[in-house]
Amino acid sequence: MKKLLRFKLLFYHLMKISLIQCLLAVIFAGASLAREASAQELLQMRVNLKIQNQEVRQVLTAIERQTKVKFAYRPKLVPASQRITITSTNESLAEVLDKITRPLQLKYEVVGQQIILSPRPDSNSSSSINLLQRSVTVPADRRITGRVTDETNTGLPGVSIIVKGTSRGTTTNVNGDFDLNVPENNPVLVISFVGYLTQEIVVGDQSRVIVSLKADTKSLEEVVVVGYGTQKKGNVTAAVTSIKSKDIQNQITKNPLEAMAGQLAGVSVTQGTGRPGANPVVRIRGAGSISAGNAPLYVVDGMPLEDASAFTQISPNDIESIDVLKDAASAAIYGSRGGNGVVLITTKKGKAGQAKIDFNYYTGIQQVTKKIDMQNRDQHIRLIKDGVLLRWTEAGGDPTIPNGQRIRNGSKTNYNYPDFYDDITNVPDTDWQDQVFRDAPISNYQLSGQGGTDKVRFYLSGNYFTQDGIIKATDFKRYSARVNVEADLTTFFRVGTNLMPSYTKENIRNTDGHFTSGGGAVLQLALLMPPTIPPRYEDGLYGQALGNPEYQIYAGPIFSPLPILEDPNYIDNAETIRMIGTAYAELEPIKDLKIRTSFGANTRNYTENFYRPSTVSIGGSAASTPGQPNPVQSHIASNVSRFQSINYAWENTATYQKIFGSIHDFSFLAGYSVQKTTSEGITAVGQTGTFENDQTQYVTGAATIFGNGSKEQWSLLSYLGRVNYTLKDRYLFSASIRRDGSSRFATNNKWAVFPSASVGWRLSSEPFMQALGDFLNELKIRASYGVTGNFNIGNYRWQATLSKENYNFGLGTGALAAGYAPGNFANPDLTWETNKQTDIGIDAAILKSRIGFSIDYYHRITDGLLYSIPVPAISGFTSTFGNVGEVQNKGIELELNTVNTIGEFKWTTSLNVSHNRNKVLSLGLNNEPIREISENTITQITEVGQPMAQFYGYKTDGVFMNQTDLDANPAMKYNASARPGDIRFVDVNGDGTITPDDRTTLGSPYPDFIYGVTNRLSYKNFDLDIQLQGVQGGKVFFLNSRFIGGDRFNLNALAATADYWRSESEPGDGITPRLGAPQITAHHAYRFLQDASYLRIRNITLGYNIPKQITERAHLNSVRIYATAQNPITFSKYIGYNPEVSTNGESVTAPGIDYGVYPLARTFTLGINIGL
Amino acid sequence: MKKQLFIFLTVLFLTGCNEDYINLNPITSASTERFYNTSNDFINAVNATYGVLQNMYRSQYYFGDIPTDDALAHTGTCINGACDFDNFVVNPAESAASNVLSNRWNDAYRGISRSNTILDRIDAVEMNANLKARLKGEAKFLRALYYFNLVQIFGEVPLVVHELKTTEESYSYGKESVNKVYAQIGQDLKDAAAALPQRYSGADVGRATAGAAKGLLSRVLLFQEKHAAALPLLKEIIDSKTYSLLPTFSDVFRHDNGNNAEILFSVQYTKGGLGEGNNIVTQFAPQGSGNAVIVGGGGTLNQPTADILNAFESGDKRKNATIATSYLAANGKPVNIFFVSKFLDPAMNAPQETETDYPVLRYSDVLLMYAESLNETGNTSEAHQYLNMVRNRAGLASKEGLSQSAMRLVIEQERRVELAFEGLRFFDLVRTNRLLPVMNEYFQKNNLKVNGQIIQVKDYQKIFPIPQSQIDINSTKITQNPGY
Repeated sequence: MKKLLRFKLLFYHLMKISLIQCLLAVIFAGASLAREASAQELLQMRVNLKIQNQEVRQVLTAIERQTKVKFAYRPKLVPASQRITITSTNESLAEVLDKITRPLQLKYEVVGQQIILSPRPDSNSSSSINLLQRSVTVPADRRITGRVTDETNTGLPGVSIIVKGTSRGTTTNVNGDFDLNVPENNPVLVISFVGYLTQEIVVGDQSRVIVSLKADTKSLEEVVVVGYGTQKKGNVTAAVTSIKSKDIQNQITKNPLEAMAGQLAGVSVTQGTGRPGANPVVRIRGAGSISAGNAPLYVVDGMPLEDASAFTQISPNDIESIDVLKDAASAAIYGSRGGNGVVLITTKKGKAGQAKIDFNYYTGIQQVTKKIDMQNRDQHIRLIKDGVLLRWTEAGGDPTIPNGQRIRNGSKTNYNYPDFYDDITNVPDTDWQDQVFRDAPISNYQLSGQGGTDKVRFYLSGNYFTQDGIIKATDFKRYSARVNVEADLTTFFRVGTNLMPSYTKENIRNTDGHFTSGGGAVLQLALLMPPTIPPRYEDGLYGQALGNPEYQIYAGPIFSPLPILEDPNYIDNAETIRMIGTAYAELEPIKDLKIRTSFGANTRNYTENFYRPSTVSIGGSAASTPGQPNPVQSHIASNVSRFQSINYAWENTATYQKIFGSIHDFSFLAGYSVQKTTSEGITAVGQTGTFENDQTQYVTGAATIFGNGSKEQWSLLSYLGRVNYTLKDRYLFSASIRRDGSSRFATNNKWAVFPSASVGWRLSSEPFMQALGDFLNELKIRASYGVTGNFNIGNYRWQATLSKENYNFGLGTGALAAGYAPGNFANPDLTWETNKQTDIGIDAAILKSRIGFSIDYYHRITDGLLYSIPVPAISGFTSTFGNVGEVQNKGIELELNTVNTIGEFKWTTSLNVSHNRNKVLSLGLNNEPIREISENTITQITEVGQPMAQFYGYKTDGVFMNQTDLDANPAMKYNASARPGDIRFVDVNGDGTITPDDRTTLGSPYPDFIYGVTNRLSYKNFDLDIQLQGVQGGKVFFLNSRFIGGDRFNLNALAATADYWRSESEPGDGITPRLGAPQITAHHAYRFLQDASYLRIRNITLGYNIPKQITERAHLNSVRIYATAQNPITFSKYIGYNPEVSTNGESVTAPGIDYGVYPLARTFTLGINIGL
Repeated sequence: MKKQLFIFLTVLFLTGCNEDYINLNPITSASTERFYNTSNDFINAVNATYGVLQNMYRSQYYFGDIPTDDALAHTGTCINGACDFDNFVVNPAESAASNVLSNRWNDAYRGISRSNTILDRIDAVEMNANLKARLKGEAKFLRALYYFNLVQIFGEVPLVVHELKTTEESYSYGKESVNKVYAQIGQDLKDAAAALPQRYSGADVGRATAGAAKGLLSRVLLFQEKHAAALPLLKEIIDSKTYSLLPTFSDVFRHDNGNNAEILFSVQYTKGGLGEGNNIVTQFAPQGSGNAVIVGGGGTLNQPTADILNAFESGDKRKNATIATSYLAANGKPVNIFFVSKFLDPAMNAPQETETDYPVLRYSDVLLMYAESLNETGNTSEAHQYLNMVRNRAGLASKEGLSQSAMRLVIEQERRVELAFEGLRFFDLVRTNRLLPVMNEYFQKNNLKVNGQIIQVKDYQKIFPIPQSQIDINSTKITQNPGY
């Protein structure tokens, strides 16, 4: 990367140097404005400090930097190495000095620009230092000891303890212990520590005082992580929302992203599949892109990741906070990658203080949340008998010919059912779903240690997570570790590193999709297999219809899913080794200016091994049927694929933060970053048919092995800058800009600029609002606008490349002849998608901050959509890539937090609701709608003026119950030959006949709103969390109905279709048509298009903290035991397994389709947290 | 130290990457810009133009066999809308059948555009003159074959004969009259016949030959009922002695006997996991047969009717070489079912992959076309000789003394059994104006119904509908065929 400085480059650098110089000049100019001041002026100077557990001398140095005063003291007399913690926001120097000197029994005086510190002559306290000095103590006093801890009973060092109304005080030692002489007359201790609520304790006649400080949850003090830095929540002018480790820790999931579900307004987390190794679909404020991806950018500890794949490798226990940048003002600092929002993950770091070791373990059991109600043996046999007879007569057969003798085209196939269906006494009644599902264990072990001094801090953890899938043979295991070390090498130079190695292994079976896909998809197979076939015969062979002439009525390709799940030689697993590592160095060359360089890398090695033995069936060819016990060599298949990606980012930033004249709070950020990813995949495939036996269960078992490879790269070169300005703590302004150059952008558009600006007004800080007192604690209105991009347009997409299309020539069997042809049109204008987003929000806290809420309204326009524009096929291509199309998302989000009760019984509630409305504004060149055809059955349409992916097709209204009904509704007949028992179609356009023009939108896959509620209760040692999450509105299409919708006579069917129209006297349930009713595209759709609304009890956790007296006896710091139910109950009317299902994963033009997807599990666990 | 660190970090900070950092080119595929420069490039380009045939002819039976009295769609599964072709209810919009239409349209134009690019660019490149002439001949032959497919199936279609360099250009073409398309096909095939060699050797066998061009042109002329014009071309092929009937009928289709003496042109397939295998003729094997018939089983696609089985005269050796009526299941029990056995590849070892070529034009077809042309031009007596060459090879006695009209029916029958399941029956019935009477009688006779009514083929159904997707893309220029 570092190239020799060519002339051009040199010039380029000179330009950049002068830019930095300009920036520095401005900063110094500001600093030099300070002038000499009088003693009174000096003491009125404003000081901002946030110092935790530092030596007094460091605190004094910090004050010197801010105020230009100099401190003088005699080290012998002043406890300069005493550690203290102090926080002050815009307080006068006098106030701050009081805070420092009083607990230490010091006094100060101003002499010119100097402040002289000395022991207070009338000191009569017993602060540790004075004890050392053996100061005189007043006999009337008594000595007490005590300990100050946080909520987890960990000792807090450096806590300030002052006797109220006196100047006596002390600070806690490294273990959180203190001792203090207090006066006899009813002393009250004031205990304060940064980040915690100050407490007053009436000592009474206690000689030992144990105080547990409560974390200060006042939102104003909270810090949120924003791109390339942090910001006080009170000063944030953009839409940023966060959850903390406590919101994650109770979730029984391997995946931190799943833990976000239902907890953040405007963030939709959809678990479309329950596959153990899968990631959820995350959408921030709707979907703006049709084909360039709608996943947010994920940044872990400052390292931007390529995709969400890393999250199966990160233990949720290691996460400190997840901050989501929702609007363009916050995301624009990530430029061409910020368009879909940004998720910033911060992992846990070590804190100075006592070393702490925590062990966390849980174990439990998972079950499938629901089974699909299928026909039983008797219903199924009736269907088959009716269907076979119908098919026979429809083909012109004589209905009087009995079963077993119906022959057409020389074949009995399709016209005869098995003879033994006439006497069902020995016919089994198998529930095939019970055969594939199981109760599966899940366990998690996490051991972490942290600690350090003020100079070096560390956090270490190791995690082992193991989960068996609820479908047999599937499982997931993770081994991961973290090492985080930060060191202050000098007062102005800090380095740090964060390493996260992990190894995961997932056993996969092909569970989803069409039953023949990938050699057999077990879920659909389990649904389609007739109940009349036993799982195994008495001799141990698998029950099969396929290859068994008695069952010829059944469709050939269905076969038992059990060999796939049970054969010990079947191998399908994926192993991933990943290392995410970052290292940084931060220098403070002058006060308030921090220069930081950080290098991060994310490497991933993925290997998938597949081996299918000869004893496992494939579509069309069964193994282990009675009479066919022998393995089939041609079923053997094996391949191995390896994928490697190396993603590195090198980010350099300079941050300058300063308060001028005590009311102008400025911060500047300037930065430069490069990032590059190289990914490479190699696959080796053993040619089926060239395996001789099952001896070598690897690709090398094949006589012929084929290979293939792929390699891609992308790179990004960026400049970024941001300025934040706060006037008088209440007028807030922020602006940022980023310039990105990307390898993905075509020659004509190599560079892009993404600006943003936001403003805020904290009304609650205005003097005129103070009258409201404790009623209104916080009120801020804010507005932002920004431009962000979506650069997920694929690598090299704009270039015209050759594609391979080979042929073969030669006598006999022929030999390969290489062929090449153009693969696509070039598009030198191809570029990023642009998002322009406006956000208006209000943050407020009232009634002593017991009720806090945020409301946001946003409006986002995504323009220049990457689009595969259909072109006339006469061009030789069917589509070309371009940037055309526009989508709008607008919505409202509400977050509400309430403290319902305080005291011994504590109860807090968090509620969030979000509504997003998506609308397509333009598409392609001529606004031609995008029609999605899934398995020839249903169509979704994305068209201008509507939300994306509207379900589309014919609307139906039950069935014609009888001839009278038919005659009365001629316009509802699909065609002239419609008869009773056929489906009634709705004549949408009212022209008296059903034509393709009657197709209409049938509903949206997108919900009206999504919501989540978390209740957190605690009483004494008990705590209880209940989290609910729900989706209201939206449709889901049960596409499995294509096979089990009751009109196939060669498969099993839904129990809901068992009551079909048989005759005018047996009209059935009125919605299930007669067997053999005309099949037209999408006619099922309406019936199996179902309400996707659901309310899920997502998590219930009941915990108990074992009392200190007991744990101390075991020499343990703390012990908490807990029981959790994850996803115990889902309220939904949906017929399938999971209403949030999506066969098409991330797709936004065909979401909400259920074509056999790994169901969700409900999980019950018991766990223990031990603090050592 | 502070100063040194500051300088160090500042230098780091400013050591940038230049613009080259973001100029990356594809690693695993070549750029189109650097192609079409050498003779080898053009050989590769022509190969890729043949390459489209493999996919295109996989659906030939949907058009040529299924909609006729020869074959049935699978009763149970209706793969890819096959029943719609069977029942003459092909819907051009958003149906499974519409995918078959779209694929055919897209494949044909993919082949045409590749030919056009070759023909537009080859003259500017220096290479051996013979090679250049041959490559141009091959490109023209293929372009003609693709257009003939289009015009037979869809009727009027856009006629593009030059490379389209921008997407905008492709919107400017509307449907062109059938006659104009035929004129272009005729010209291309004449040029090809003049430029192409009589035969190839070694690894080039299978490329288009002069004989293939003449034979295809004859078929095109017959489609236009220009029998007189076809006569000399067919005579040339016969007189060239390049082709002959193999003594054993089944050898013509043997997997390891590709490009034999009877083949004028066939779509080449080869096995071995190269992606060049024929996956469709394996699907003609019975569904649920496991590995009893072929490895991996089949799908009973293109199932023979009792009608075609009965169409074989007794003693016709072709009957058993074309259709099987039962097989032995894995458990040793016989299973009765009709299925196409003509293309079965017993050497197949991987499911879905056979190396059997799919014939496009065979010598027996040439002989029967010649007989037909003679008959139609009033030379019925001479026609007998060529008809009987085909019959005798099948073990059937010669026909003698037929009248012109009787000869027509005999040739129709002979073509039916000789060329069964080669994707030709539908088009034969169309060009002889026999589709409606033959099919409607068949539906009536077998009481075949759709939606409760006996199927009735109508005149507009001699061609298929244009895929709706192409109309949607360019609705001002492309209109649906009448009747659909």
